[in-house]
Amino acid sequence: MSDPGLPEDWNLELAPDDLLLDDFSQDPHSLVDLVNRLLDKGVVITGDITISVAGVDLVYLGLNAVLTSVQTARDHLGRSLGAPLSGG
Amino acid sequence: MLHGYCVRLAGQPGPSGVAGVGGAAVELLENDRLGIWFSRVEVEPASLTRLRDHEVVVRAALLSATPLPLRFGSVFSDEAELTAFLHDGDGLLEKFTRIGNRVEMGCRVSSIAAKSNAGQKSSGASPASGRAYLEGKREAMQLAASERESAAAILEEIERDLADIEAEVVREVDTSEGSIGSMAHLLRRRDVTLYRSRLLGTQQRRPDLRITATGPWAPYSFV
Repeated sequence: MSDPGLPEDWNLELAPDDLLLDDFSQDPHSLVDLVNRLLDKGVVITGDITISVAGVDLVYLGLNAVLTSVQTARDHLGRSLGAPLSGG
Repeated sequence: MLHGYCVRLAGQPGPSGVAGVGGAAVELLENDRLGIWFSRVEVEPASLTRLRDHEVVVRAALLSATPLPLRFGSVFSDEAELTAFLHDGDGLLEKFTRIGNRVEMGCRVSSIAAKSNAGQKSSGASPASGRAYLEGKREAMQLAASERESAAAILEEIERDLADIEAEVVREVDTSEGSIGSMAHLLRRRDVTLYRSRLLGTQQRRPDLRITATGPWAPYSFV
């Protein structure tokens, strides 16, 4: 039941299983979607950030600027994002 | 440093039973209007593992109410900086008003057929003259424009299959490496299953395409 004080679509109709992460190791499309969203979208705050890949600083800039996109990362890395960037 | 995951409206459930990047605990800092989920971390390297860790936390928040996801790598030096961030949160409250409790679904489309010819054109023999070079360039540009038009038309066709689902949409045409493009839709939670079903129907009708539905995501493409 929705809380009468909340908008009509506020009622949760997602089950926990609906929110399981896609199988990125099996599906490059899902992997691209993950990387593209987390590195290129979302709320941008004012601050500094260091993004490193395999121990190499890839980006260091103010968060007011665009970080990178999947395609840009591909161009710089010269390899497919189907492979892990690093072990984390 | 403090690694931020997402912003919530004050009073919504806090993180519980979810681990953050590198296994760090996920904490909540809240004022009377907004809250933020964050972890205390030593370093901020990007790796697929940490991206997944981050997304697991955001989806844990999404389960109870739609958060505003922070871009990966959003770090704060201390809690005072976090507090200041939340204090200046008028813009964030406006985003919550616009997003409501809707979720983002993704649709990525590629062609089963051969990859784009645009890149293959340039791999031929060297042009015999400057004129031939420029003509070759013009042909490549025309081909690329034609491919983008075709890709946009395919995305519009898929969009028509979703026409009865009330949603905001962001389209991105991308004709590199056999890709056609992607779309992000901001829709009501109750429409997630219908969205998947519609795209499955489109996939069955268009076996020449590979159509992948992803999500539900926090509204990354709409904040």
